[in-house]
Amino acid sequence: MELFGGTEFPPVGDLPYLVTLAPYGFYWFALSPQPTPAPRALPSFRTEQRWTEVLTGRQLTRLQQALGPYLSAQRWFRDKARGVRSVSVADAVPLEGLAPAAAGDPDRDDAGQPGPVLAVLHVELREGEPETYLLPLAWWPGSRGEELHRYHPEAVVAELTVGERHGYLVDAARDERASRALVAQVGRRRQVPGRHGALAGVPAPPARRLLGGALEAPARLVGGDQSNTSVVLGDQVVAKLVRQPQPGTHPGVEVGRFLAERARFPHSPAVVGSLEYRPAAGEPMTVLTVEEYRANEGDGFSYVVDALRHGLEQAAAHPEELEHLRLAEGHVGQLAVSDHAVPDHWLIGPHLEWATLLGQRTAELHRALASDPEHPAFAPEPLTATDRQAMYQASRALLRRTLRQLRALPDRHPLVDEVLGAEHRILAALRPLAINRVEAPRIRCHGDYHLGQVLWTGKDFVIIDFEGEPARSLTYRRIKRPALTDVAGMVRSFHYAGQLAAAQVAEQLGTGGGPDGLQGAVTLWYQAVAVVFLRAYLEVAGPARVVPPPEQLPLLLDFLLLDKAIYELGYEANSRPEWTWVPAAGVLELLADQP
Amino acid sequence: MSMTVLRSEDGEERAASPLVGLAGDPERWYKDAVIYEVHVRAFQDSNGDGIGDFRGLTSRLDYLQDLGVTAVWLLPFYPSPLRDDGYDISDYRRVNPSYGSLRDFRLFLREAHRRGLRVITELVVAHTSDQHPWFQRARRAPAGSAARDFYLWSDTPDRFADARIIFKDFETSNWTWDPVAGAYYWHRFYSHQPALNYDNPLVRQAVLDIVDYWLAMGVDGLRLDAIPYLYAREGTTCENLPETFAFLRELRRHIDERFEGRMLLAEANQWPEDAAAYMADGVTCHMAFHFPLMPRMFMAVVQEDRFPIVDILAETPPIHESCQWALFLRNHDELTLEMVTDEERDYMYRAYARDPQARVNVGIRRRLAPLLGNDRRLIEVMHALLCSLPGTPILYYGDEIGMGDNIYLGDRNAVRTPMQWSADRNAGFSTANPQQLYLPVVMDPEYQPQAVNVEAQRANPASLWWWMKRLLAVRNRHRAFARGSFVNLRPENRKVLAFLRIHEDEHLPSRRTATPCRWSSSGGPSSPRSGTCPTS
Repeated sequence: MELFGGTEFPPVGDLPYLVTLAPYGFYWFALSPQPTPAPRALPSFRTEQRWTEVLTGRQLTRLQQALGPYLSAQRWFRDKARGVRSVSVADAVPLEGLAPAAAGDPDRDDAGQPGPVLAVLHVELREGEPETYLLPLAWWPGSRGEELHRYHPEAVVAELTVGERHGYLVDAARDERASRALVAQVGRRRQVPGRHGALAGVPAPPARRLLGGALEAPARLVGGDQSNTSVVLGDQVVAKLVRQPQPGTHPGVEVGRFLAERARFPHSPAVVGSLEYRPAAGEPMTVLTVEEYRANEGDGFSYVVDALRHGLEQAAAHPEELEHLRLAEGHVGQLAVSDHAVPDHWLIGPHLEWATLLGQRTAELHRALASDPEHPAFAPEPLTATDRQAMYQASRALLRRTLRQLRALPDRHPLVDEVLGAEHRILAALRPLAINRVEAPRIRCHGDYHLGQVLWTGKDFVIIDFEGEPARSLTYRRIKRPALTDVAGMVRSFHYAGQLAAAQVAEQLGTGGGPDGLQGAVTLWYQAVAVVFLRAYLEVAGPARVVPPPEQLPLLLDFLLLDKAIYELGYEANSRPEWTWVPAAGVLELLADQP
Repeated sequence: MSMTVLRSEDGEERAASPLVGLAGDPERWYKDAVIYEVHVRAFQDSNGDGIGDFRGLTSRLDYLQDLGVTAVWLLPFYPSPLRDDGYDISDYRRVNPSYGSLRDFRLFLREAHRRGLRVITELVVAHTSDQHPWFQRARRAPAGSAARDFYLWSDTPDRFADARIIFKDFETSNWTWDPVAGAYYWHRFYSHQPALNYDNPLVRQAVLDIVDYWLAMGVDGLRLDAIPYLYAREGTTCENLPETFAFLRELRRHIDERFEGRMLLAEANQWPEDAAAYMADGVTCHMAFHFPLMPRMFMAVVQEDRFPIVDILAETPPIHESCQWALFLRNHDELTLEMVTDEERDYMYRAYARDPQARVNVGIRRRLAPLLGNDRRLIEVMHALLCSLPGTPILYYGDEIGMGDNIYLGDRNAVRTPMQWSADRNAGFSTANPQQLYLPVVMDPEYQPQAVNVEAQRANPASLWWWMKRLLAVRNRHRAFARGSFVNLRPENRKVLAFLRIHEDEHLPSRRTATPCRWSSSGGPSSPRSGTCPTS
């Protein structure tokens, strides 16, 4: 890693490492060993003629035993904590011959061997219900297999010798032929049969236009998130393999198609189609989604953090210019509906435009989602007293669970301790929603809305990922909620972006600039950006009646912000305890006016 | 000042530095330090008399802390006729009244410690001023008496003829006739600096008393000035003699028995193997300056070749694990060229001192920025080297903003002008009448305070000052820079210097720092070339 900008450089291998230096230039790198997972003893298989023999008979029994440890080591395997009891290959759909070979394909070094196979895995867990996972498989012999084994050992399932040829059984998400075959199947009428079900394509209108070209272009794997693996084909489409498919309607496809085809919403990528696995018995499940690819400069989070870092460096150099700048006291919701002016200041100025634009786009999204009263899955519904009671109770239960989690943490940050001591005040802050009338419809929402879910194209935002929080069930993700739920998620992510930028700048400047020194600047920035975002949002969303009237708005928004911050506390306590202080600060800020 | 008294296992009382138990490694803090060299006189004047003082310096401690330095090295601040910038001391136990009082010094020490800054002072005991009461007493005492033998006397000026003359621009002999004593006295630097006679046990005891005095007050480290020259023996160069090392061991033992977490820094302008001897086995000094490395860094830059640096580091013997080299680019003296070959010296003069006025003794009297033609990229790469080669970096005051010099001021005063805080009168250094300043502020159009000052640079995050602050922040964050071992890499391109610093720490995964630096190719910026560095 380069030490001044904190930029990751490519890994160092055996070959000479090329670095280009400017005249009198220099680099300081920190070299750290790649975080390779503890070396897994690679199980070894041998088949006579075809590699797919490993999916039959005695070999299959051994393979299934080996898949348990393999899955547990994968990032996208979400049931690590529940413990794998057993894995069985429920089906194996051959992907051979679905797509013509394309320019990007490697030479066929496995000539005469079957192509990739999509394995549907049935995973029995020690706790709770069994789950289904997808694992495309391929056999990579020769140098290609060796290279993968060396640089991406996590993608290698087993050693597999076919006849006399040594090779590896690999996760075919890295196999271009497999990706292309899956995407090609999206646009076909004929189903591909497996043993106990079939793969069926569900094309959307843009399929005809986009699929042909995409299939001839090279594919590249883009960093998958925790639940999916994405492949970009020729800068035209993005295909996302759903690692853990669930029976039922996939909200990403459902919302995506609704937005594109019914609401004609231009600021999210159109759905090109999807691929369903239809078991012989049971509901179909979506295994692959294909969307049009939108060129972008990275997600909103990194864009905002970068922009803010510049401002904070200035702020560290000119602390005196910030001393007297404060927005009025109050929560961001209250300020947004007030007439307090946002200060005209260099720390905030560069952020006005994107915050305004994002507010508009978000409101347009909600208007689009609420635009069809005839469609049962999208028709707005009123927020009743019972709904509000239920929201309060759910939040209260979440708070209890989260505080229990926090108490178990070693080395708690003082802010977290403060949250632990403020349980009654938090409950008191959640309570008003249960007892006060709020007139706002419940609509279909994005469901997991934050800066990481919008792409910055350089002049506009594209909203992506309508699948909701992947850890939740499909039905939960399809529940209608107040539109402000998304808004609260976005405002919370501004808070995160601010704290992350401050932490980076403070680290870069050493102790002198200290995070505390920048805290004033970050708070000012957060409030101002949130207020600008909210005002732009309300200007568009208000007349469409997807939000409560101004006098009721702060109450609902405060509740949702607090609820979200509590959720984040639990999430961080699980995955990044050193970050728990960020949501803790958010919770405390929302309690500021409470008695 | 309050002192923590620790009891060691054998029941002896040892006075801990007030900083023990605070930041980092309390015993070996000097290994992780970033030292800032400053002259009280030149930093900040608090009372408007045109001379910097301790109150002024104390008021600037926040500035130093903000910059990211962790230790302050003070040039001599004792009463002195100031004929050698304070290295001619006439009283070892007081503060020169123009800099303030002992009270002011104690306050400074307390405030520095409160900010986690260590304080290193000068122990100049190879010689005294000729005004020192010891010398006045000696010249009047009868020959052969203990008081007379505080110094070395001779009836003829031809003893120890093999000893070199160091200030050869100013002195012709190491012996000077004293009409009062009626004899020649021995000196290695200026003739007004008679050398103390370490064969006299009273002298050695007197020196240990001075050491105790300052360390008990809370000083964290001592720079031992001109330490190779303590003894004179016929038939030798009178440098690095075994007797000198014996005395250093005695001094170290003396300190270790009484104090904790203190540091001795040897000023030995010697070739690496001789300089390393001052840190041998960890029983003499904790640190020693790496004099030969410094000119070779400048040479590497101008020759656009890594060889001079790689070569001198290869010639540098390993040192005890408790010890550390002290690295610097520039200091209060001339850029000394004694530790280079004649050809190299000629090359350096042609490259860096075309103007004969810039030369003094065997060296160049310039600050860093003018030496490098005020080329920001060069200044940056030199500081990057300073902060990444093995050792503790020492910054010279003013270099963090690229201050200039005035080579017409005589002796080495060129690089000792007032710190440039702002574009105000006297560069914000003093409210005195400009004529009253101890030295005039730099007036060169390129470097005058209107162009180069702290205030302006701190207001601009793209300035050299901020760049330095970031550099120090990065260095302070990674222990590999301070403690890592050094592995030279050999990229094919000789203009590229690449090396690894490897440090294992039980709290961190093993971390290596690779630093490729590149000297300009003659093609200039438009001809990028890639350096290959195979790293493992």
